[in-house]
Amino acid sequence: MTLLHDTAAALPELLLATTALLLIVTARLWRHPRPAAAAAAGGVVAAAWALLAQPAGGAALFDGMLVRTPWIALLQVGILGVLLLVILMTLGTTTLREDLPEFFGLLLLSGAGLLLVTGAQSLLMVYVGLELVSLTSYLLTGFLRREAVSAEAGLKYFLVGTLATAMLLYGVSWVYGAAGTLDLSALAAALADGTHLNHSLLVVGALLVLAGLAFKVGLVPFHAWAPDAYEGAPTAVAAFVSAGPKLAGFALLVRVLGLAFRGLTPIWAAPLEVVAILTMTLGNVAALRQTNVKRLLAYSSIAQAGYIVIGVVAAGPAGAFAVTYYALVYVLMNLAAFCCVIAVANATGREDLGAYAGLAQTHPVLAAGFALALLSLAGIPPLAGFLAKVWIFAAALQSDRVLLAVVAAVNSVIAVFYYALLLKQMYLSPPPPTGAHADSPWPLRLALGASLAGVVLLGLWPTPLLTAILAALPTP
Amino acid sequence: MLTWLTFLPLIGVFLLLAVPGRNVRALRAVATAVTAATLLVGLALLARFQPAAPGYQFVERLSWIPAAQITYYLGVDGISLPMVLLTVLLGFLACLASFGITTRVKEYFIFYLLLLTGMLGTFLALDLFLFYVFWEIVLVPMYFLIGIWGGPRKEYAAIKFFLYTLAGSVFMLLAILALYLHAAPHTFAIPELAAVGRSLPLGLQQLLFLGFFLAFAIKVPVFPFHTWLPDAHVEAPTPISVLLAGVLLKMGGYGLFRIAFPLLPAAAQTLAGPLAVLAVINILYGALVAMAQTDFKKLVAYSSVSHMGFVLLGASAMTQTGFNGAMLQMVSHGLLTGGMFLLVGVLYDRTHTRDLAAFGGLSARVPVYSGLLMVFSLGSLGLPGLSGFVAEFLSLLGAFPAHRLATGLSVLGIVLTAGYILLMLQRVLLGPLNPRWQTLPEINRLELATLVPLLLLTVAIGVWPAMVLDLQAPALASLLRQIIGPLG
Repeated sequence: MTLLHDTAAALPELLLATTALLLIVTARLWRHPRPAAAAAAGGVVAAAWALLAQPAGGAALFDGMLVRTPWIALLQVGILGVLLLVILMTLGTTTLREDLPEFFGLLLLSGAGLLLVTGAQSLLMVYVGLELVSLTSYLLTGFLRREAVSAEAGLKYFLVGTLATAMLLYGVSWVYGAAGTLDLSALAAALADGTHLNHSLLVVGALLVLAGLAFKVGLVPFHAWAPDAYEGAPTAVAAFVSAGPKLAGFALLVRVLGLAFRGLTPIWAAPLEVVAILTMTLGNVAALRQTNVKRLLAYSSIAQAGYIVIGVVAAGPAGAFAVTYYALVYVLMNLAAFCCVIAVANATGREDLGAYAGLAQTHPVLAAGFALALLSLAGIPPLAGFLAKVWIFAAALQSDRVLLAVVAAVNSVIAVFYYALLLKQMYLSPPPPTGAHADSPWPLRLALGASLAGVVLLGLWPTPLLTAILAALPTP
Repeated sequence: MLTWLTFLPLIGVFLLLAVPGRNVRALRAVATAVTAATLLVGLALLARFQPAAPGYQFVERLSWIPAAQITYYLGVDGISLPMVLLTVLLGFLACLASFGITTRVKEYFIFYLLLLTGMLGTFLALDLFLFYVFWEIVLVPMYFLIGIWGGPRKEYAAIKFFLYTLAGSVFMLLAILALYLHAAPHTFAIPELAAVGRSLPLGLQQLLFLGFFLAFAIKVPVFPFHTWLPDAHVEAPTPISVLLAGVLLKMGGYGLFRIAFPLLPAAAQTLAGPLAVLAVINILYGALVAMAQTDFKKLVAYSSVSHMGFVLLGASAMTQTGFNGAMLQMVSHGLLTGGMFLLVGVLYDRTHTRDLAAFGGLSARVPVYSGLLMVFSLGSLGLPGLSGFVAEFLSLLGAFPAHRLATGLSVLGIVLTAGYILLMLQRVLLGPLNPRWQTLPEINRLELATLVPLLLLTVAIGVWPAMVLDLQAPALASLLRQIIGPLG
């Protein structure tokens, strides 16, 4: 009975995985991209339906492997949204036409992994889920196998990523040795009790796990893979890697650090504060010198992750709230920015800053869209990115981490410099004489429109999302 | 009514989007109609405003983001009304002056109207969160307006403006959040926060005051945060220079009176001394640098630094007279410097140079233009009978009891101002006529139309300053009571 019940409760993950496997199995027979995309999108929508139709319970499934609290369900809906947008973006990439059924299959498999990671109740499940996400991400990054850059990016991502996962697994083994359990709630209880565990062993384990997670969300010093991977990967994959795994990664950081290792807060908070400062600063400063827009966005994503970590450090309800809002909004604005990169690459075949010269005159709507995404990333009101920054600053101030707030404030000024660099290219520089208008395929326009609508609406009228987050917060 | 006033320009943006970009006449017509409409709403506001009534009028308050107690809260009082009127007036006149823009006209007016909404919202918002949103909204269109339609170094000037202003405002954001978090229950509403701010310990008040002051000081601009101003003012196209000098600088002074002083009164009182010192530096430094300029527009830009020093001086006085002088100086400077930038633009459009040495003897060739330049210059110089005199006099008078030395030094600034203004007039209008300008055409009707209203107002305020003072005095008196208590 329990098994049946648990299986039904895991329907979203199962739907994704089944669709993925069907796509991969039938790929040899059926090479058309559109039906494959439709099938993939159908799988995602079905999973979302299954997710939303479930009663929001907090009971552990499969002997304490998985759990689905309202907060987890909220983030999982976000992940499914990312999958849907990435499918549209892939269809909108005119140069990405080969082997799309396998592509979508891998994407959905990765998505299933993301859902598992987000809902993991045991560190073992964290590891298994992350491996599923990672392996498929490596493949997607190197998907353009005839292009050396893509293959190189995939290999780099794989090598660094494997090291990180190994560290995570090693840390998990220390944690088990120290506490005798891998269940997040049981760990928290053991820490609170404090008698039946080896404290110093647990600290080592916790820090190793933290390092593994830091890789997933691209925190300094585990960030170096990101620019190369973003640059070499197909842009839709770069968008996916910058959004999905980060959403799941931050969910994990909140749950593992804020829930399981809450008792160790004095131990992880200080190093994580340093990591946040380094991540913001290094990401922003490095982004200043980029000439490839995908690399620029990669460093911008690193910096954005640094802001979000402030919320993790601040902890408590305000911190978790800020992390949730920022992560969801970050995903939207970053995907919108990548949509624009794809559109420009479709029209010009280029990804360097120069390709954006005079975009406001050749493609006014696209330029306005990109400008909105960039201004939101820069935290300019009344866009959603501004509100996200406000919650993060407020969380930092509320937990008396004034230094973090000030560093973040200074960083958000530095960041404007390179976002404005793109604005300058698009609006201030004259278009090249050969510049002609070229329409992007409708799926891309749909993805851009949807993500931008989110960025604008969540800035002007954030109440629905705020209410949803606040309602889900008590049980992260 | 205030919502209409604020968002009329935004409605104009949507109208402009519907007009094809090639139809320049229609674009200009829409923009002019919209700015004219905001001017009319502003005048209607003036007609229905009751100066003697205490507190805010035409208040509109709605819940915006209830989860964080953020409200959509607008209101107007004697401090913000003159600023609003200045904005709608200059907004309309600078729109007329924008007919000289011939490239990318549609985008220009879209950014222009967006800017107008941002400025009006800043002056009308009574919720700090809303205030900050409008404050920042101003930045983005201004960046594009300078960067696309500006002079040779426009890109540098635009990004410098953007980064400087943003650097100031992020610290203001932190200060706003700190106030918000100290309020129980949390709130961003300015009237409620006044009670919260005054109860904070002095050290924290001063820290928060500095956070706000940084943002406002960069906008005013206060030395040493002024370096963005010459670049931005010089590179911006004429109508945008008018708005920069006429309205944007006032956002800083307004912020002091609306937020920093009433919310953090103890800090304001203890920091009045340093404020006066900065005021003197502004007045003298701005005047001295203006004297050394050979570029006409740069001269006007630095004269702004000097003139805004009087705003600071009046504010540092912490007396009714000083406050009155500071607020009046903001209005007067908006009218006079707006006029000066328009006049520089008129000359530049015809001669394509702003080098003071290239002119000379223009008074014989273009008498009407010369007459106007003369009046506006003398107004800046502080000639009695024009608005600048009353404002500067009140600032000095108010500041004298509190800061004798500073006031004394500031008077020197007036002498210096007379020096560079007369020197400029001499170089442009007097002497032999440069043969290059033998055929210089006289000022045209459209240009005249943009200047005459400013001229009339300057004279009117100079002769009968009570027309502005009566509007603002009750609000300033109650502000003063908030700062120094009923007994002081």
